[in-house]
Amino acid sequence: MDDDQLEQLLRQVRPVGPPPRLRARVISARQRVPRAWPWMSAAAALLLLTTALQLGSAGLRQRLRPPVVSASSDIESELTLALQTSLGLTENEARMTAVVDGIRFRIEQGRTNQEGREP
Amino acid sequence: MALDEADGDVGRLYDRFGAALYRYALMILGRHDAAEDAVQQVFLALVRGRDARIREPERYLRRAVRNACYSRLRSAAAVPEDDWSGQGQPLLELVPGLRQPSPEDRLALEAAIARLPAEQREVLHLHAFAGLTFREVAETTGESANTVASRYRYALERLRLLLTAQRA
Repeated sequence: MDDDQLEQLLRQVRPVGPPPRLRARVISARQRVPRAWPWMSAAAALLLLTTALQLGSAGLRQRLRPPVVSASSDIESELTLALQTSLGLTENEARMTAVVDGIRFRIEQGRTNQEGREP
Repeated sequence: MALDEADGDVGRLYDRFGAALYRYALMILGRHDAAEDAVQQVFLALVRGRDARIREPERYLRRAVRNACYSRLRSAAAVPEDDWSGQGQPLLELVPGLRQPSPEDRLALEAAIARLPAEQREVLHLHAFAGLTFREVAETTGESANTVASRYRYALERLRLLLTAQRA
């Protein structure tokens, strides 16, 4: 057998084609595949919701927190001025007295709150 | 191309390329069940979205089937290369509309092809049966066109020797 005869023989045949059931197998496999994306979007939505709630509650806490620092510094400034004018203290003496008074006030307030919570 | 969610896309792709891919897998693996599994595996990977965006589906699917076949040959459940037997079912069929070879010639050719290594069967299929140029075959196998052409010539030479010996 020469090459021409061989190539002619090769042209007359071909590998057997697929059985008809293969198409059904491919299509049914496609229908059985669980879709991953609904779980992924649900997880993403949950993450977004958690983050939003976290940020929202942090903002709310920030807004509800009593402005202790600024209020107390205002009070201390007023007290300092009052001590200077009424008792004739220097500014440093008056400020030190005001700070001590502020600390005493907070300690008393803390005790009052604690007593209020006890039965 | 991009697969959308419609079931029809996979069906259309299968209708266009399924038969050619199956024949390719059959020539490499030599078993109908293994060829079916390889083709199904490729389409399953496609629908699972791992390979959802494809520019050239024919070339892409051919390479995917090739990878699936050789991975099967290498795996623990490998199909031995000398088991290119069809397991009792014919592996070659007659091309309709052409002068038909005798059943003996067809069987002799099938037996001779079974004696070729998988790489030679692959090149023989892609060039002689699927009609690809050596350059196209080389793009599929990832080798040079010269290597592919040499392999094809070796395959033909071996077939010729085997068939001549069978007839003698």
